[in-house]
Amino acid sequence: MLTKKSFLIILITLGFIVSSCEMDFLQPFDDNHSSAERLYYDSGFAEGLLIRAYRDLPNGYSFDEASTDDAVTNVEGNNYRRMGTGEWSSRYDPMSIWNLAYTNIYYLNYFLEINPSAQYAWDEANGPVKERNEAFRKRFEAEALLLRAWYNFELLKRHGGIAEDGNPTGFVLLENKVDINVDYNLPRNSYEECVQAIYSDIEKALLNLPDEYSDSEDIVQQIVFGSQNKNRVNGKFGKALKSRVSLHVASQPFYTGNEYWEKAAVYAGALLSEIGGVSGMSPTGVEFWKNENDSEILWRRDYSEINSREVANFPPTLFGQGQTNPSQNLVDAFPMVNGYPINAEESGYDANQPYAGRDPRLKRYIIYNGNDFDGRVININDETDDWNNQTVYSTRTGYYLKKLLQPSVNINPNVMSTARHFYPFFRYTEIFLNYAEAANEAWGPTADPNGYGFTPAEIISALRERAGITQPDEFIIESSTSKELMRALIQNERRIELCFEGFRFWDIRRWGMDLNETVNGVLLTNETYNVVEVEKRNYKSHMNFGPISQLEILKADKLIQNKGW
Amino acid sequence: MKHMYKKYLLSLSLLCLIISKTLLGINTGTKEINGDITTKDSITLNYNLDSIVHIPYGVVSKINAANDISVIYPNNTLLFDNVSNGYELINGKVPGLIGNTNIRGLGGALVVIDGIPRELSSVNIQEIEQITILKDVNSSLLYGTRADKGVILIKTKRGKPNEKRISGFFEAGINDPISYPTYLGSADYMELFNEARVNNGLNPLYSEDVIGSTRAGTDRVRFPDMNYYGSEFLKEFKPTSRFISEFSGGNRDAQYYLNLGWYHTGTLMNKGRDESYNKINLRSNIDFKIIDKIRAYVDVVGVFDFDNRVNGNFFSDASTIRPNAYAPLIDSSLVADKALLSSGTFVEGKYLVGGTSIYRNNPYGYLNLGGYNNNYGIVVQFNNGYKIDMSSITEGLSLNLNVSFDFYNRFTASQTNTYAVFQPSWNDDNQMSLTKIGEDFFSGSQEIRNSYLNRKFSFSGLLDYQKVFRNDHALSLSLLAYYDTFNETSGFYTSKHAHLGNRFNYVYKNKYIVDFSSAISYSNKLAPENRLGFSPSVGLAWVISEEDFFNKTFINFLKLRLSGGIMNTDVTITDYYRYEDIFEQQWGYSWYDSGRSNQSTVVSNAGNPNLFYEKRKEYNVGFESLLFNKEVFLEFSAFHELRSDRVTSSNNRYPNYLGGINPLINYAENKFSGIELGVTWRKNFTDFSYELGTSMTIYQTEITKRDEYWPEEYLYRVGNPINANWGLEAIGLFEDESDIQNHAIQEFGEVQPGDIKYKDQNKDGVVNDNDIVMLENASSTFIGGASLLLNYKNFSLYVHSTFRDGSYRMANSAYYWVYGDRKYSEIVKNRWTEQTSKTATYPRLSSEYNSNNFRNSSYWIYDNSLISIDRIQLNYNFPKQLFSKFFIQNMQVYARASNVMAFAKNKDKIQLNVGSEPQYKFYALGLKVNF
Repeated sequence: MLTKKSFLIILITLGFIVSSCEMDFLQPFDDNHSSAERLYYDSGFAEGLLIRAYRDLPNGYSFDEASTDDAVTNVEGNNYRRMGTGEWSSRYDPMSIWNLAYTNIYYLNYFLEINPSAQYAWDEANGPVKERNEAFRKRFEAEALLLRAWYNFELLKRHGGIAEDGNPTGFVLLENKVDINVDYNLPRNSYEECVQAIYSDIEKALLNLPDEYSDSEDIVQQIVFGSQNKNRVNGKFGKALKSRVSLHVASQPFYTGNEYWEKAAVYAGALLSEIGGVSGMSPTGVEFWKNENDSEILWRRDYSEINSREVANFPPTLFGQGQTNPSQNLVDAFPMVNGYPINAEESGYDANQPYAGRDPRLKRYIIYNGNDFDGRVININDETDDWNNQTVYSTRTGYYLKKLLQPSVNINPNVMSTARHFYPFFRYTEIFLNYAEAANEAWGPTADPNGYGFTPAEIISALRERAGITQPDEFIIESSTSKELMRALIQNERRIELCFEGFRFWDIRRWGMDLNETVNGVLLTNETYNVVEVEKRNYKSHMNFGPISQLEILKADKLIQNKGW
Repeated sequence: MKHMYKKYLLSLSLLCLIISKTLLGINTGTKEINGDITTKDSITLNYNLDSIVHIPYGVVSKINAANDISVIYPNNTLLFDNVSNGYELINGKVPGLIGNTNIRGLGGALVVIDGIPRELSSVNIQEIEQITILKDVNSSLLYGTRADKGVILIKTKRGKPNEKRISGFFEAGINDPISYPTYLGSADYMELFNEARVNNGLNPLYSEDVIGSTRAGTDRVRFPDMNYYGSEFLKEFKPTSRFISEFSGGNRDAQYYLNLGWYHTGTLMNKGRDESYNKINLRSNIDFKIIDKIRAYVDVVGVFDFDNRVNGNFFSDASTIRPNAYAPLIDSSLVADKALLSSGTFVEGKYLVGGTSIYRNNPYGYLNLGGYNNNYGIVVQFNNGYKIDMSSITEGLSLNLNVSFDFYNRFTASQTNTYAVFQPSWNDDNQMSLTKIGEDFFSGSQEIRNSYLNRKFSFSGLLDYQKVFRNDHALSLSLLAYYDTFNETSGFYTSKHAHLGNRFNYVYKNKYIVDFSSAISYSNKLAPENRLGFSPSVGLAWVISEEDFFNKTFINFLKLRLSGGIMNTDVTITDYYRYEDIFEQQWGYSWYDSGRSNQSTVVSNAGNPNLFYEKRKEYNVGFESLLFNKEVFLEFSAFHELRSDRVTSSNNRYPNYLGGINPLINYAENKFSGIELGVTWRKNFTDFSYELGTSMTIYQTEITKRDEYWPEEYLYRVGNPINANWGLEAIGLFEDESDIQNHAIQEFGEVQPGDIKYKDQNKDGVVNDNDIVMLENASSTFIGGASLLLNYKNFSLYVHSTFRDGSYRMANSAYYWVYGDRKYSEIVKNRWTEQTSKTATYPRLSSEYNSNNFRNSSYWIYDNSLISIDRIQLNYNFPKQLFSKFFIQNMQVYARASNVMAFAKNKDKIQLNVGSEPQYKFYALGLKVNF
């Protein structure tokens, strides 16, 4: 009988089974996942790091006006609503872009690191490989720099400000991919350093990017810079961003001199000169959202066939959710068709017929009682669900949004339809207004020291003419007499022209305006319009700047919080 | 790690060598392992020292178990307690088990059925021979990394040679809803909603006329007042019935056990399609002899369930749609527009279904017209095993091999219909007109959806050696190899588990017991150099009552035990290749107006090559004892568990400006400690006997290590229970404006009198999230059950109760947090108003979202402790002679009730289900016959 021996043999056999643990049946399923090496032999994969930063670019309006004096939202618990009514804190920051921006800056820095050794061309069929590779690398580098400038500026706008130590402070400037294994406790850079970094990225990018992608006879030029690259960032994007950055920086309270106002005026002026100044202003720019090819659009993302914007904002009788409700405050900002503000003696404003004889932009931008979407009249009175607070989807202010919506869309569940929508990052009207504001501050309402051929007053006049206010109107003539009067007019024009496009929240902060103007609405009862309070704003004085997240400061204690947070 | 298992193997072989050298062949005499201590079957706690207990890959006599395990024999308890599922069967009966399958608070234990991890729902309780609850590391680690939270081991019945049995069981009963949510009617709702609007500075929405007309209730189309919880929609009871038959028998060479069960419940709904749930269980366990030395078994299991449902969620709608939201039914005789009438579908003879553009689902609509969702589930299990007697090599040696295949398939067969709803409106002359919203679409075809399939294959090989040497040395040695794979349609990866295990059990003179168990697991989720994990454990026991010096007058039996171990687990690593940087293509960006696009490249995982097993480190001490003529049985354990090196994300460590792409790390640590106690007292008289039993667990959890940063000391989770209610400390409601002015600023929007006032913990003048504190524990700290069994002649009465204490809950569902357009529950009646400011129990009403009041705080916390009489059952056994002519061996009838009574401070909250079917009491009659 085999006893001890066989026992041991079995044991040893078992032991062998164990030691051959590398056997296939135990291995994890080979999922063919990619590692960093693929970045160097797969051109799409390498470019994908850059694409990652494109992917997070905004593709629609945030409607953060619901936290300003321009609007409220009817959505319970909406973040902007909570912020505007007193919940904004370093633990609750709906305006934050910190995490999103830094994720993309990580990928952009990663991309800039691998780009010089990435391969984008392989065969000679479409031109010389080396030349194409070089051209692609240059273009991609420029795109990455521009996108980094975009995210950096968003960080500066939302998180930069006067820090607890009293110094103007920006964000943590990262120009290279960071390794988490080295010391990661980093301080915020100064405001000026951040501004200079943004400028420098843009300038470097502009060296290698055409204003617009256009077709060419040269095969390499065609492949790398041809018109098939439309909707990727181009030179114009960079110039427009530079204008936006400059204006934002110039109006910060800690920049006192004229330097940045002049810069802002020059960057905007140069860009406007390229389209021939005022004569290049798109005549249909007031309703730019209706045509994706309007010359008004400076840069935009792809359009898409959707109806989500209408589902969110149409009044309930049109089966919408009536979310964004413009305020009485905004409605009152629209002048009369004669150019005078409604509270001016000469205006001819009649409180019993508040919408008669008004700036035609009011009818185009805001649904008031009796206004319509392509003939579909909206009655905001006690007969319908559209009346104030009748249903969850009814307006709270007596107004609905009309701007940015495609009136042809039908969202009746029986006959759903969609229309073309797009999100313009920059449109020329913004640049015109940027110029008007900066030049007025730098040189006054009617000066043109650089010889662009247009002055702040002329630009405002052109915008008002386009809107349907016959020019020259008396009010603009009055306002042209002083920088201060012109400033007020420009600010009001900017409020109207750019309403619901995400500017108001930061504009009233730049301008040092009252953040706590109560939001009013109108209630139509027995055919009288009564102005009613709708929502109180509750901001504190330090809220001209946003916060740095509290948790972030706890994790990295070299970060300094902004004052007051 | 690799060198460790080699050392382990080497020492194991050495050990075997020594044992065989010293003992083998010297003495081959055998003796019953069990000692002379026996006691009559005790049925509630099943403490029978002779009884054979199933443990992982083997059996042991209870007396020789050195580890912390508890056993339940359903065959015994089903004589007087006919529970309907496995959870009821074990709850409140096992010290250390704190609800469902949660052992010692560690979470859901691994359920092992006939050697393979399986769903508890795949057995019906009549087919269970034994349930062993394995609480400590020492007893459970042979099931590998998944056994980290303990094991519930289920062994099904098998046929016995020359013992033919046929039995039938039938039970029918009714489920009686305990409570429904109570909502305000339309008129009350409108009044209070107006109040809420005034509070928020708005005009009242509903005029006195409308409220008056609604209250009058004459025109329910124009002034709707919908009550969902009445007889209109709901029946009084829901029926349930069960039928189970068992057949078993066989001869010396082959045995069989068959079980066939059917379970049915009906519906509570009074309208529409008849909803029902049916389940059929089938089991066939067959053992047979191949040749003298080789026995084999083949088990086949099939479980089929059919769940027929309407296409809509009634209880969810009932808890959200306000009573005045729309007119539910519109009488066709009121409609003048004949063309419109003919375009609609009538329900209940003459009604059109009401609705609005927002409310397009109406219970009358979907119950009658909406179509159906029929869910089907199929479980098939197959076990095949061989027991090879290898006594030709050496006496006591055997080899057991098992192969199993499990399949599970489920799908939904549905017919989705849409239907038009009609919204009435009235002109100035009170003429009603209707607007049709949506269209009728009655799909003629059935669609198969949600198809899901999984399959599991497992293999185990066990080399077993059992022998008693020189009468006093009982030795048992097992070596195990286990492997399984699991695939599912929704998963890309095949999950694989593999481990080797050993158990070494040595008993000297039935007094000293040593149990050494260990496992080497292989985890393919870890980097190749970290894949092997060695988990050792040891159990020691001393049957002190066997010692000569021990006086057995009062203490008839006493065993002291001690066990401890370290178990490796990888169950918290849910994905593969976490040790490598993984780049992945995801959705990207398109340009050239969608003419061009490219995917984005992302780092989907930041690799941590040092990622390794999470550990469960544990020790137990305890004793088991029989006292006072074996009338009292006592068992006690104290445990201390540490879950260390827990796999967590490092997001809390690295600031987000680094990009937010952070690896998994082994960092966090939790502690569990407590005591378990079980007592049974049993006494027999001539015609009468009783048995009283209780089991209880007192335990606490603590977070001992965590990656966290907080601005205040009291916000740190470390040092607090794992499950706890965190929130602000409410100190009443603001009385008036000056109260608000004198208090710290609350940073959750503007407050007004009647809003909740919170304590400013850090005294910085602002109340915000930095003032959150740990309020109360969310897990019970004291939990258990008690039962009583009385036998008198042919009657028996059984009562089972469970209790828990120390846990608190937050009343934060929409039923308690009423604001904005939420449906108003009766809870708001005692809201704050200026008049009721002294007595109000609810904050002032708010017609908008109110961030100040409706956030977790001590205002909403309630005590979740409960004593529940779970079951009462009265049994009558017919005298045997009555049926002797009819081949009937015995017959029993019973009446039972479940969830009959509860004692709790917050019974109304604990027993209320909102948005789902109610909790039920259950009353049933049953019949059992053995042939």
